[in-house]
Amino acid sequence: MLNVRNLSVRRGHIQALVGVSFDVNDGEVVVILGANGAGKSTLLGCLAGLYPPVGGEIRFNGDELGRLAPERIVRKGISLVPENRELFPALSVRDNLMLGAFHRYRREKAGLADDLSRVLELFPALSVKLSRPAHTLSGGLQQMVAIGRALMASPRLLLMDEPSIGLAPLVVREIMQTVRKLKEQGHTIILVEQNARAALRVGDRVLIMEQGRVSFSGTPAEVAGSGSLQTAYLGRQAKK
Amino acid sequence: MAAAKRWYWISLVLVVLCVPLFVKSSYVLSILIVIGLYAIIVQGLGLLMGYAGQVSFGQAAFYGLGAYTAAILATRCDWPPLLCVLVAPFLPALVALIIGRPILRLREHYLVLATLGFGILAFAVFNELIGLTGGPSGLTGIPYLSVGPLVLDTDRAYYYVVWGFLGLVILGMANLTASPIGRAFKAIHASEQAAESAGINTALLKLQAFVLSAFLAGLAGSLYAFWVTFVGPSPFGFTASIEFVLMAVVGGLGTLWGPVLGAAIIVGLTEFLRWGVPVVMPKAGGEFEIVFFGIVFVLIMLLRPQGILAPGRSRRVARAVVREEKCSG
Repeated sequence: MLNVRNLSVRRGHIQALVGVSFDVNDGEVVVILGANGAGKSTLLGCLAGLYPPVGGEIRFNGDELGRLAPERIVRKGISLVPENRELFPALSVRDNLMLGAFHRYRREKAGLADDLSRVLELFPALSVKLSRPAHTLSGGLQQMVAIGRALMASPRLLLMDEPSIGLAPLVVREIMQTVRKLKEQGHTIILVEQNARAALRVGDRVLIMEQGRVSFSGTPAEVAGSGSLQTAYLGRQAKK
Repeated sequence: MAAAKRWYWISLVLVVLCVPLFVKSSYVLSILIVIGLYAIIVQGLGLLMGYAGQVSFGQAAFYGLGAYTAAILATRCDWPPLLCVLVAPFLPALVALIIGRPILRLREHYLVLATLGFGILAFAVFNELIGLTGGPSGLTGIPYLSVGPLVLDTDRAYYYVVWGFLGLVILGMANLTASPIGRAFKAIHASEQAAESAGINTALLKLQAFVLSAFLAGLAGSLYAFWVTFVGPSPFGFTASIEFVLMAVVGGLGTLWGPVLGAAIIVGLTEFLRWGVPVVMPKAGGEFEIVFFGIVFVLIMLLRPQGILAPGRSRRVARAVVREEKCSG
């Protein structure tokens, strides 16, 4: 589905990604781990069209994405759940969700209500808060709105940038259950996470990034089996 | 709810219709006409600033372009005045379309400087292109606006024309801001990057807002030309552009009635100070009016920095936020 080859991205004077290559297959959940500044969010931003590549190629279902504008990438079927949610605070929950489907509100008006119902089925807590301004919601509910907004675009590939950041453990569990549900529904997901333990439970494959490069590619079981990776990304508790 | 809304609009229309029945002074009517014209311009600027998040210090240039286009079409091409009013705004809109693409790539103060530069350039053209614009002497011989045999040559009649157009503009804005495109404008204002990642073509929407704001400024300009029947460069200078931005900010960005209130406050205050300062300080020059104007403006910005009609964060909402945070632990 997604083929990335020798991708390089600069952000200002910094070479944020250097020759990154990997593939994502249909229906897979690929987890990307790495320290702060490793290039994980830049990679997702680049796939979403926010940061243009300076080298390499990105192919999505055979089409070269290259330097396409973000809205054209959304039309191709790639949707981003940004880090820190990036909701539109003054707008209502309903408006935030509907804006995710902005690119198809003219052509597929009838399908939007069904999509909204599907999102609300996934996040029932939102259905009673549809008219509330987004900034009045808790962090967990805001994250649900951010995921829901991305789903309203009917993506074939969902990019999730640290969806658990800043959330209480109970809410993190709920968000990860949502990722699992989305996987069961057949969504293809690239999940960037600092919470490695939670992410590895839902992932099919793992990429580890260091200083803008992919330093490891394998399965969650391989990460669990490697002492050095366990120490680096899962902490001491994982050794028990 | 829908019935209440309908009555709200009907009462507003009635108030606007009744004003000239009680106001006999031609001076007051002319102030109301100026407020109406400026409110049309500021509606466009409000869309650009309050919804699309872009600042333009070049609206006076579009205002002038509309006025000159209407005047030239009426005096040199002998077009009927009403047709001129309807056609003239398309030239400023076209100019905005051409200059908008490069200008709107700029952000914050660079965008301000670019629109400022455009305004100064247009003002120079109005002054220097003597063969077409009449230069500093302006264009004379513009007929009054007429619809068939009906000639609208009184302030009372023109009040209805200007406020009628303003009503249509407000109605259009109400529909636009409640539409998916209006929501997309609000999204761009909140976060351009988040709007892009949600699949919104921000560059196109910002350009559309810029073109629409230029169209509305051009419409006000063409209406102005047939009201005063003379067009010279002085009302279309840099100061006018600043005043339009002030009106938008004072009234409240991102609101439907903010532009009308902002125009009323700035025009009303200017006229009040012109009358009031010589009464209080008989020997004072015109600069004292500017000082008082500045004081009042600073006070408004201190007390209502978001503009008079823009909603602040109410206590009810603040309490809801605290409740949600407690629930999420």
